[in-house]
Amino acid sequence: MVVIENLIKKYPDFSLNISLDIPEGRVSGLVGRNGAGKSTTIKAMLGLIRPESGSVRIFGKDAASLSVMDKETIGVALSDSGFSNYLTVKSIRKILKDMYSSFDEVFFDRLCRDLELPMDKPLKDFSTGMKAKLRVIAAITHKAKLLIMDEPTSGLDVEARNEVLDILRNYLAENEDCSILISSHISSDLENLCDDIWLINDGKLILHEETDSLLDRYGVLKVSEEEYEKLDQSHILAGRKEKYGWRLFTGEKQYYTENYPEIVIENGSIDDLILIMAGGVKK
Amino acid sequence: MKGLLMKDLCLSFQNSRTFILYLFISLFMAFSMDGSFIVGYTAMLMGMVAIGTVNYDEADNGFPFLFSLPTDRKTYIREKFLYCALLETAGALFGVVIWLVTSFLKGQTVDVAGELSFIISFVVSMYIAATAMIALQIRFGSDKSRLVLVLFYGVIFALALFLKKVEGAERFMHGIVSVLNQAPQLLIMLCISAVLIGIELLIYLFAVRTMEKKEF
Repeated sequence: MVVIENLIKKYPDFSLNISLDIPEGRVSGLVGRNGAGKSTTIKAMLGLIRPESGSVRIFGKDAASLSVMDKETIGVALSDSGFSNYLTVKSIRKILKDMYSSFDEVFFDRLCRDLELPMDKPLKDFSTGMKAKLRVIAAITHKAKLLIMDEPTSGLDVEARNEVLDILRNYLAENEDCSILISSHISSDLENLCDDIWLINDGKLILHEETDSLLDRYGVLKVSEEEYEKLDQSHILAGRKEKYGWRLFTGEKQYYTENYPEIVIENGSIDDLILIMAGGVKK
Repeated sequence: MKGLLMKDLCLSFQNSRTFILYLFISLFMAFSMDGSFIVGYTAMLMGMVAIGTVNYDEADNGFPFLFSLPTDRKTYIREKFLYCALLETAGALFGVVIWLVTSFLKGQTVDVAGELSFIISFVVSMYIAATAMIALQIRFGSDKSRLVLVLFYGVIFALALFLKKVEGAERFMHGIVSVLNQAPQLLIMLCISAVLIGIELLIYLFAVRTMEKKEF
């Protein structure tokens, strides 16, 4: 559904160089630290920036020249951009109705009611959570086949985050063919939602793994300097120096559990992935 | 385009106080001044409302989301130009109504046919100025575009002063005017129309090109 090939975008202080693909029905998470290139990747997918080279294809077509009909099947929620703060939910409903031929007004109203969004208040009087919920509602109420969500839960408290994620889960349950690319730096958001995870760091994808595999196979080894010296490091992907010694990220947790029963081994999480793979020393 | 028009309508009319203010200003102008000037004035006010929608779109980094919606950059510019035309026409019609009503109340007779060419030329000039302002706003942003407009008028003024000082320039201009006076009125109208359409086309192409080159 989405294929990015050798995409290169250069800025004076940053350059993006990635390839990724999202098949139909797949929920992919794009993780990385702030400034790693997540939003730039999404901007390239939406044709908002012009890459120096490479291609971004959505539904088999060049992303920058998608037709209006193609764009109608894409739902987008951006973390730092949305409808004008002077509009109300009621006026946004009118706009979406005129914008999308498949806009489901009843569904929109139901979601707004369920999430207690006031219809007549301008968005400038909304809380961050209310705005985030509205952005997601606007993205999923026109039967989109592809959802592109840039940090949809950024800046939200736990309750609001869960509500936003529940909306997405329910949408996925009812639309199994829908593909989603969701970027986030909050690991728990992605662990229960995504089929696979792409880790981006300094504009490059450094890891791609199925979420289940990541949580099952990957692990974090906590070792002292002495243990570190003796350890077989052939399955260590990256490490991070700590006060007590080393935190090491491995893709072969089982191997170390069997061969080094004395060392502390924890299950891998996306947080570890980001912290150690993106911030640590590569092995 | 329908969705974009709806967005602009919602944005323009969300602040009803502005329109009430415009209504009072227009009524005051219509009562205090004679003639059809008020028609061009109300058209100009509505042109300003249309220009304002670009500010709303630009505010709070709105463009990235706007262009993720089912539209494209060329359609965005077309919609802005169309919206501007619709609002200015509505403003002009409203102005005509105020003009007729206030003239009746003041006991003045109104020569609509006689004033028609003045009204049309005024409204068309306002439209060209408003779309030029939209194009400048897209190119330079709302703050810098005002500066560019002031600079533009400054250059025109300086050019006029310069021409006045150049020997023979005034005679040359008089020559042109006398040639125009002798030419058939229809031909002059056609020439002016062609020039205005050409200017508007250039403004449109400039706006489209600027928007298509932008990155968000």
